[in-house]
Amino acid sequence: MKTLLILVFSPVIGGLIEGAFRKVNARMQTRVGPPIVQPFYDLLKLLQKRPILINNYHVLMAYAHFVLMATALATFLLGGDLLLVIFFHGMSLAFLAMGAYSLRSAYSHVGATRELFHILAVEPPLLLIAVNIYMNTGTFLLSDVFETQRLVKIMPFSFLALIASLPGMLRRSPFDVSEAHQEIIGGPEIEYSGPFYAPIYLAKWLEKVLVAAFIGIFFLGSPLIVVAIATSFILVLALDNSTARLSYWDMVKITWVVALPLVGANIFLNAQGVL
Amino acid sequence: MKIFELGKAKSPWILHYNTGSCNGCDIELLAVLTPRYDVERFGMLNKGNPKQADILLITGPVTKRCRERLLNLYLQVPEPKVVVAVGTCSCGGGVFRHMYNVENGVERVIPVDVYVPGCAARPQQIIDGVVKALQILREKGRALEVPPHLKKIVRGREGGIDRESLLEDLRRR
Ligand code: SF4
Repeated sequence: MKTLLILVFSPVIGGLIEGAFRKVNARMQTRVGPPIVQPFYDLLKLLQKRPILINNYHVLMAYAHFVLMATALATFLLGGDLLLVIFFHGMSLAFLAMGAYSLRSAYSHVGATRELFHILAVEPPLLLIAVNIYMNTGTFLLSDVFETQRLVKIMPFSFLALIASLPGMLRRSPFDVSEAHQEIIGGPEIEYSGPFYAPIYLAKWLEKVLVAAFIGIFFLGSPLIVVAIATSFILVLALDNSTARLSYWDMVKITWVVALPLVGANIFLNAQGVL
Repeated sequence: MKIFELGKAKSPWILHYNTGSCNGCDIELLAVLTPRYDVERFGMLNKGNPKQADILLITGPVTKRCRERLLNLYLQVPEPKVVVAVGTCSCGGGVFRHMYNVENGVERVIPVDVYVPGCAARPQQIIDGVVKALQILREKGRALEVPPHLKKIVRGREGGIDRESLLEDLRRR
């Protein structure tokens, strides 16, 4: 019952997280910033715009992107398989790229290619972290993983790896290559408008909840769980405001060079029984 | 419903297009986005994408090279939408009026809802103009909006442009 409630309210939570992101971001730039419920206004507005359909497949992919993101989140919160969550998440991003490829729009194509590199950069560290969680808990089933306490104590380096891949997952600078608003104006989402952009907008909220839940795994049973999530997000925003965008290839290289060895080290130390 | 109207008025995304202005107004426009004036507190974002925009901010006197593009951008913005002409040039030509290469203002090509005069228009004025535009946006629906003199060049319900008749139309003027 409790999980069901969380599931129903997760879009609301996601919207609030998104609003808080924009607010904190504005405060970091000494601006006032939009109200925290701004994303809900945006969504309402998007639903009222005149629909401009480009092709059916394109729109279908937007909905597929949303549905799979929601499935990933639901699987996570209802205690499903961690690997499934990661695969659903990756598939959801792939659908976005496929929709973008279905058009004759240069920016859309560039964005889709970068989206694929984005998947390439973000998913392997996540998978390795899942493997590390399996090593320590003996299961990929999240309902069992939820029973554990303070995984961060035995998996500190994996947690650092997750932090390192956070800017990528949240599409923040220096790794916001696929969206790149000043450069390719949204990339894969450029041609979506009005009500067809709404599912993509919603999926972004859900993705934020998913990322927050992923960070939460490490702090289960600790009162600091909310603080940890908030601190990681603020860290990402600070990085976002102080760095410039890198090329997509740099993104893959840096995420892999930093995150993968960190998880590898953690796996090694766990296997040796040091941690 | 009240809440839907609120959504429309609270979340204007902007498309800024320079139709050959001297860049004075563009700089003021960008100043509006900086911490000092911070229009994001009204929910405005500079999207740079006509398909996701609600408010078209247009600077410049519309050079003849720009007409077609301006029209194209206008037709790509989904309804409800409003057009704000920023700067004296875009209101009626300004210092460029009656030059051989300009159209004397945005209204000659697309319908304008709000005029913001000034050379260059001050950031405060621009914000004022956009807030006025929001009230207009509130009342508009999502029915296809085609200015009367453009009726015949817009193809079908989708709003695609018939290029041939557009060029012919522009040549005739
Ligand atoms: S109104 Fe004046 S400042 Fe603005 S674009 Fe025209 S000439 Fe430049």
